[in-house]
Amino acid sequence: MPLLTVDNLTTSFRTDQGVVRAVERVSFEVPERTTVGVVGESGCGKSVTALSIMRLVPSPPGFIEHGSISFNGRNLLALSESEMCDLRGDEIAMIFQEPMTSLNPVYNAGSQIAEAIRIHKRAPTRKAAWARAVEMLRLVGMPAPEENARAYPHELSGGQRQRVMIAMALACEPKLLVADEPTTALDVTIQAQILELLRSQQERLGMSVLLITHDLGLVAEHAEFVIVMYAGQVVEQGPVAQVLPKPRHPYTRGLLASLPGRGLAPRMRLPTIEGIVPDLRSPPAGCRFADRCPMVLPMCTESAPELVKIDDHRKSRCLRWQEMSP
Amino acid sequence: MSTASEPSIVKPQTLIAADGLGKLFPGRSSWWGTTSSFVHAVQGVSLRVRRGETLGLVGESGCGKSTLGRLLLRLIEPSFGRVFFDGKEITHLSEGELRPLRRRMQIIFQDPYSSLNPRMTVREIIAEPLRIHKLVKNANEELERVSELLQKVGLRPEMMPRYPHEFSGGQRQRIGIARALAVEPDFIVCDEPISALDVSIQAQILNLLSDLQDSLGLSYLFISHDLNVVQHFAHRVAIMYLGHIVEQLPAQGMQMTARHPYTRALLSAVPAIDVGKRHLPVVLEGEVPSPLDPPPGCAFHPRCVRAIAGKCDTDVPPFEDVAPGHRLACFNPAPAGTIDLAP
Repeated sequence: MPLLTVDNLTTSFRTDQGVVRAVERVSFEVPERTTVGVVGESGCGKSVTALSIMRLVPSPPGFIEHGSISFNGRNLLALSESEMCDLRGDEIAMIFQEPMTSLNPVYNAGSQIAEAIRIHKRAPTRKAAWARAVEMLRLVGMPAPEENARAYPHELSGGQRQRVMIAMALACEPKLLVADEPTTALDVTIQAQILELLRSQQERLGMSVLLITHDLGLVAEHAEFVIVMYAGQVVEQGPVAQVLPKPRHPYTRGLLASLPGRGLAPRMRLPTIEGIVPDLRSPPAGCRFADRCPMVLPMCTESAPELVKIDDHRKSRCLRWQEMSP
Repeated sequence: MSTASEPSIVKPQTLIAADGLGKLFPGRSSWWGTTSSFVHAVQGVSLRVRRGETLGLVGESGCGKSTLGRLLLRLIEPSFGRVFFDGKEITHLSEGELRPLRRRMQIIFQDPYSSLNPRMTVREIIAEPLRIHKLVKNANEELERVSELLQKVGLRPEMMPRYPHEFSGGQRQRIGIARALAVEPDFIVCDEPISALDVSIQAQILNLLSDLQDSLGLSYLFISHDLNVVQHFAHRVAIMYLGHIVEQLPAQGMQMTARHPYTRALLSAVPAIDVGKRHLPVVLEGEVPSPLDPPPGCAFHPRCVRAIAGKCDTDVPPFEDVAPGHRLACFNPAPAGTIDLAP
């Protein structure tokens, strides 16, 4: 049984212009000890999917309209808030893109980690919790962990703050880590350090990672499965080793083709996806990618295509997936 | 300005050049108001951009790449060194003397949200430089020119009465480009012009910039932290670390020709998209030191696996030619054509 099963999840927001479905009928699984990447551009619903799993969608205006999220055999959407609090930070943890805004500026790094340890009763005394916090900082490669445990977030660099976040998330040895753009705000050499750290800790704890990112390169190097989202829907999903070399949706193919540095002659024009993402306040009736799609047919704009099964592992939301050969 | 004082860096094909250019920003002040420390943002950089060429400038946050771009445009005053534009030294020109040159040097910014005045319409934004430099005679001519510029960057003239908030990020970046083009510049500093944009929009803007370069003969200084983008888009690439340019080389084939350990580390840190080509990144230890107190010797030596004790930590490596078009500041560079960084 997979560790996490998201089934037909629809998360919506009430706005002045009516209800906006930020995530619509999204289904996927995260097996144990596996990294699943969720990729897409801003506004595609990848972060809302992550927040829905954590039950952290701001409500109001947001609400989970439909679907189920089952983690380790329990339906997260049926849990009470206090049951969810016990789970959150303990069995499921999350790290965010901007560690400056997600750490509390008036507490030092060590006490924020120790707080998580105490809440989930992973240490008998405050002193033991502090010792464990320092130990976690050492584990995530923080230089001078004893001293830096007493440092406030503003005294740390971006990479060090992200290490604090990771130490906090891993302090209770979660089974699932939801990482929302964990390295986007960091420089490339620091990004490489943080990803290496996540990889080694994942191995040590045997945890699964749901990696939310806009960077297909990260998914190629760090995930086994990939979910491609566009305008609130999954458009393609499957094993990374199959989807990236042979995409079965024109959006995935277009995204891959538009990346510079993949064997294209220098200074050649890049293939682009023309146009912009549709407004989700009034989504198109047919395929959401139709007006930007180079393979569009009249029937694509008439009715919305379903996510169809290609084989046991792969799905595509395109009527013409069979015609796609790279 | 006598030609005799011009360094060899200024050649006829050179549009803009820096010679030993540097900038110190005042850091902490003591209780008496005297400045006790300086941020060494740019430390004696020499480079040039040829006519019609794109020079990519790559480095991590805080390395001084944006400061260097602004120094070239004289948007900030250099602490030392000289700037040449079109064969003429412009380091000490007054604002008035600089004005006609300002028309020929423009900049586009990273964040298309904060670089457009939200209270001006698109027409006003693009017409403002035309009015300042008196490039149009009347309202009719202005209207014509603005609509022509909008079409040039892939927008429709009907969009003229709209405000910036009505546009997407990519469209706003196009407005910023149209504004820069309004004065018909020769040189544009592109300061991370696509970093704030979504992947599918980045390619659109890169294509637009390269079309404009071809049709207008523009020169670009293209500042970016993304080596993939720079390798694709630039003719030559300069790598910057803690205020110094550590390596400068042709973009084509730099994956194999780069020799500075820092350039190598940057190249290997870029995630490879092609499955099966997975590589283990050269993970650099530690973080970039503070520019308030840069390390002695080579600025990179505390993180460098090839550093030679007693040499790299005391002497500053000279920036020298190692091959045609390839300059390097390193006492112990990696051999060409290998990925391995081992000493």
